[in-house]
Amino acid sequence: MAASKSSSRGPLWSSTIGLKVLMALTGLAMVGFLLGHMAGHLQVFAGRDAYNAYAKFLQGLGGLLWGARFGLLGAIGLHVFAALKLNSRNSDARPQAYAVKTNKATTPYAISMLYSGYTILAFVGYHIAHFTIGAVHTPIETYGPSDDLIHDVFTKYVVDFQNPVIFLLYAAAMVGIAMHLSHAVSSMFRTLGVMRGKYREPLSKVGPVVGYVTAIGFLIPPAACLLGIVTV
Amino acid sequence: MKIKLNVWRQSGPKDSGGLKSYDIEVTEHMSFLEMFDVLNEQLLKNPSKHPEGPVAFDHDCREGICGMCSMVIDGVPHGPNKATTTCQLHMRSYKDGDEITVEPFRAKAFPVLRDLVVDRNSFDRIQQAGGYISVRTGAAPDANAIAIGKADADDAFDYAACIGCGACVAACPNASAMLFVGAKVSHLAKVPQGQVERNERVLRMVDTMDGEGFGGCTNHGECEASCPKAISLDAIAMLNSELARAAISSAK
Repeated sequence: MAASKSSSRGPLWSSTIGLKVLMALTGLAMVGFLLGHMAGHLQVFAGRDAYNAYAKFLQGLGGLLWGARFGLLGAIGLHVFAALKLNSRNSDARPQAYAVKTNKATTPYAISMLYSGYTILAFVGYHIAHFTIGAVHTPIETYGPSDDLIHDVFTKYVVDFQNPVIFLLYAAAMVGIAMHLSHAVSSMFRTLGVMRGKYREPLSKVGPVVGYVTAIGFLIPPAACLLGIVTV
Repeated sequence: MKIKLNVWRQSGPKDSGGLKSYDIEVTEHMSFLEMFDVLNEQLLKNPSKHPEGPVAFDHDCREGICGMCSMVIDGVPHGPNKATTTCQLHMRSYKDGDEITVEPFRAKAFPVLRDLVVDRNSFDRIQQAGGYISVRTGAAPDANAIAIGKADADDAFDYAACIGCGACVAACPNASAMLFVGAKVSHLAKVPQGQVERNERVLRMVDTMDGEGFGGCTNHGECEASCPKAISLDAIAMLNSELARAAISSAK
């Protein structure tokens, strides 16, 4: 066969399409988590006890919680691995740039995917240090009877977001989330092969909707803390 | 009308090349390629002033169906008009005094041979890897002997409109060939004649596509916007779903 010379003969998952499917599936898992996470944190409006009870419930999941944590970290790892591999292939595919290049169809979201991705990655590290480990900003105090101490995540949340610098850091990350998901979610549908024919138009709108709803949903509770609507 | 052309001049595959400016007088009735014919006559008439000689560019049918003409015109393959090949682009789309920059298609898999001519054999090798069907030789079968649903026939026809010019690769920020491969795979996947090799076809064509050094799709949509035959991005979604289908059935 004439084509054998130029064949890549790698495993299917490592083909350009295979890696994209890997990104789509890991991305889907992360978006699913984000939506749940967002819904969970809107409970800050339900007050200290409800919010801390929700935190305690999550902590009480034990093995399930660790499974979810490792699953998500694995998804991030695979997503980033595939993105970097594809990005290096894509840059190699055009060694010489055009003197003049005019874009007709692409969006700022699509062009900035790598940078919004890096923004989110950096934020996830900071966010885990902030709330999961509690290594930065206000320490997480405990209250309640000595045999059943409750972590007061609510107070940490409200106090920290009253700090405009922390709020702005968080808001910048949400801009990254909105931009990344606006392209990513619709892109995922095409990569998974479903965004065509009569589904093309509606699915192309799902990305920006999910992106902005997620970012705004995440910004409402901290903004409420900053503006003094939710207080300790 | 007067046009200032900045044309990529490169004497051979190993030359580094560069843009060179020419002033040219054209009429609005000329096609873009006819402008190059006029330019080349001028360059040939005065070899002492133009030692670089005429501009090499690809062209054949000049009626928008062969897929030979290429050229990236002001950063867009086949120029500014929608669903138009370079040969069908006319100077009436421009105005007196315009400056136009013309470069070859740029991709690792499309090496520049000379000036605006690139080697697009990588597309032929992808096509040879699976873009065919097996049919019995003999007399031509009766027309309409094989019934095909109207919707499938329409889709297959739309994908079959691909002329393999490579504008999708040239327009793609990643120099990806997925619109081309998607069109070929989808065209044959939609008709009964293409079913025998259906799974093997997509596996081999994607494998060859990657081996040729094309990039991957990141869903910018530049290919569709530049395609002279307006092949839909649905071809890429279809290609992804065909590959998944082949992967699942070959795993069984």
